[in-house]
Amino acid sequence: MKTRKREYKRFLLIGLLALLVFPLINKSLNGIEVDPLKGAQKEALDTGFTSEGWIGGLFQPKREEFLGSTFSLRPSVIRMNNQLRFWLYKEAKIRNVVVGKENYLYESGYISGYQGETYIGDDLIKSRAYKLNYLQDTLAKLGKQLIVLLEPGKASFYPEYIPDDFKKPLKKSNYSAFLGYAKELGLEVTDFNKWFVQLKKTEKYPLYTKFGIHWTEYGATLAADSLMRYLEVKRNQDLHNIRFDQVVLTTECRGTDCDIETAMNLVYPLKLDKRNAYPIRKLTGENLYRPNMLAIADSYFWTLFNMQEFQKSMSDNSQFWYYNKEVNYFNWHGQEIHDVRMMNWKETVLSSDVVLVGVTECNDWVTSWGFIDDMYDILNGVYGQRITPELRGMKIDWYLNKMRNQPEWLQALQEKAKGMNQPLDSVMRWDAGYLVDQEFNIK
Amino acid sequence: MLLLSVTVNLGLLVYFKYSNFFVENINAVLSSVGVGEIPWVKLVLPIGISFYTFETLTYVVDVYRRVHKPLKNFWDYQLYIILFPKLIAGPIIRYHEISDQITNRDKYDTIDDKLLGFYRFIIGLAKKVLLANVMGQYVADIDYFKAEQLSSGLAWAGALAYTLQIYFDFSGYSDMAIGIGRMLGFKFPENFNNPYTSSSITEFWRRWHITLGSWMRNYLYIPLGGNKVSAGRMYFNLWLVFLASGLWHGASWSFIVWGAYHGTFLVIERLFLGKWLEKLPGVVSNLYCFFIVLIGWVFFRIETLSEAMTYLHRMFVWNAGVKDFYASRETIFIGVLCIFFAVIIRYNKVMRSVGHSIYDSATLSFRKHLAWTSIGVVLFVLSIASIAGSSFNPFIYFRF
Repeated sequence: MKTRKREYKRFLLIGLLALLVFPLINKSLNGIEVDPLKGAQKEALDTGFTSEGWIGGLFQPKREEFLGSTFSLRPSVIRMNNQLRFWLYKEAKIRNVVVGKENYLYESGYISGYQGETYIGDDLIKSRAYKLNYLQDTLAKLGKQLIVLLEPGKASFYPEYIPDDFKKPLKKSNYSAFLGYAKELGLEVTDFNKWFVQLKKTEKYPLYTKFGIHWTEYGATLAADSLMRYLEVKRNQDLHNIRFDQVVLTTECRGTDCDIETAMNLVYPLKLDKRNAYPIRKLTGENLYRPNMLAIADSYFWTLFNMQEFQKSMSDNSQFWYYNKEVNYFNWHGQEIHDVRMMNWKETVLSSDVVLVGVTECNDWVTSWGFIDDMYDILNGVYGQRITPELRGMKIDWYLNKMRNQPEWLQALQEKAKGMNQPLDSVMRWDAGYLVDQEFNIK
Repeated sequence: MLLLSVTVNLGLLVYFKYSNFFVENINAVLSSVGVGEIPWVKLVLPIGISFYTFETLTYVVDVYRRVHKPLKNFWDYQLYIILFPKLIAGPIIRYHEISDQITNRDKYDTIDDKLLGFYRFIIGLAKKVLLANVMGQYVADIDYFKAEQLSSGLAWAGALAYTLQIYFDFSGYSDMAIGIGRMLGFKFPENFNNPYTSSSITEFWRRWHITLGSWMRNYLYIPLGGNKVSAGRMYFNLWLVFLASGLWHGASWSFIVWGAYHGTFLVIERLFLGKWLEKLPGVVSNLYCFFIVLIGWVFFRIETLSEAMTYLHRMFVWNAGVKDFYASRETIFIGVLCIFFAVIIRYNKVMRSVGHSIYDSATLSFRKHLAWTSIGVVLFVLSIASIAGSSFNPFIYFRF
């Protein structure tokens, strides 16, 4: 009896030790695999052992970070942790996310923006409105439209679900101040924030889900069609329109409709209590005018960009500059540039029919991540004073790369160098520098 | 030989741990009188030096006093000093407490010991990760603000949170060390015994960092005369020992003040306060002790004396401050758990017997092993989840 009990205890010990080494064995044998985690996080790299790392004291922390982020079954363990924290503390383990009443999920920036906590001050708002007005007028004289699109914010749309911990008395916000100055200056603004709040009372289907940051597919469809009708009036042209006769009603989320909940990485996903509507869209009209659009906007615009019908109603050369950093082509056919810094901004703006500047109450208020200030300076011929040596260098390098990869251009430069009796590299650099300076009106 | 060994060991400790402090203070005095400063390159502190230096001292003193024979093998000595579970953060194991185990661990090398060691390790891990780290994060959040910005409520909350953090952190580490030691066949001495249930500072120091107290008593207090001197000399010795304890913790005036603070209360209790406390209901004397210890931790935590005094001023002179009291649901929930496990548990018979089965038992029935294995697995998984989860804090979308 004693021996048997000892054996049982021995098995218990072996079992516990096996539990400790199970993740290592599982990884080595490529055993149980689990779904990867959702959300965007910088990956820890395996920098390996180097003498510099060892002496500099970086080897251990980097190695720990790497092992800690890649051990087997980590996603399951993290989901479990997230689930527990949600159950116990009503907490979402994602940056900047707030769990509201009845599990309505918000990005905290929207709440702060709505409540006026991030107000940047009258002077800045006025200056931004002024610059936008200048751009709108200047582009209008050139036969182009500048659309200042105030995208809806979830906190403005669902203030009633903001949790009490986060509720503060409403103060002057960037949004309200901007609208005031826009009116004063005569700046035309497309205020979808106000429109959506008005629609909330009458629309049958949700314009926002509980679990998403952005408007729903349904809300985006209304927004897209409304934009196109607005452009028809402004451009005095017949554009395609988006119609839908049917919607699919479901409590399952599609697209980005539940992007916050998805990134929460829970064991038991949250369920919608209202059905979302997914319109079965069609584009009306054939061979109609398709404006060339340049959109500088945040993640809201992805729903429009990814909407086939909206894409098809814009020209193939249309672009979406995501956060004024990343170039996305409405019709990508091998274009090389994906970094906005490498684009010729002036040329791109002046070749567009419509420039759309989109912003929400959460994001970098109405600078469009530097686009407005930069375009203002470029059109006024003063950007050269602000261009940094780093940016100039990057643009020169880009041109040099292009020269080397275009045989005709390279041949022309070789002949030029021969004629000037100068090294090819020097001539290439002079020409690249000249092109950059031309772009920014640097004398 | 003894003198040489003690001088070398203590000398190394003083050099690496206290040189920077002494030179800084000397330079402060010199510059105040307009004399040039002593040039000095700051030294890096070798990890664990305070702990293993005290252990090397116990070896030479115990051998000298013939408490135990010396080890015959150099590698056995190294095993004693460098034994990894206790190397960096204790417990401080006196040589004679472990000397026999270095060469023969049959007595504690049973399956029960390995299992009990495992449970102990898991409990320590859970204390550290699930309790101490949460309190620590709250303290760190408050630390972000200057003391003069805090409201009185928040200052008290911070002090309380640190009181709980330091206990669960340190006792957690000790549990992990003792647990691993037990799995390897070693029986390390206990280091904590519900110190926040003490009724006096005297009792507190029999329950808090027990091995340090034991070391100080045997290798400093008794050699200074212990109780066998005049009353005045005894009180001075006691106070001096605590001053040294404070200095042992760190090279700064705050630690010295913390040690002196505790020494003062110990003396006062010996003089008259102890007798008063014995007549009070247990809860009242427990509260007194908890309060005194909590105040002491303010000096321990805050790096400079002036900041510590500002913080205490915030606590005792009501001020709305710029930053009002706040605490997340997690902080409150874990804080309540901490208070339960740190204080209330002592008054609960069931919890006491549960603790006894892990901390004091040599064997357990198979059924109890099953129960503890289940608890251990749950705590282990929760701890790993918490550690993994703390490093995972993504954005919803990639942000530039």
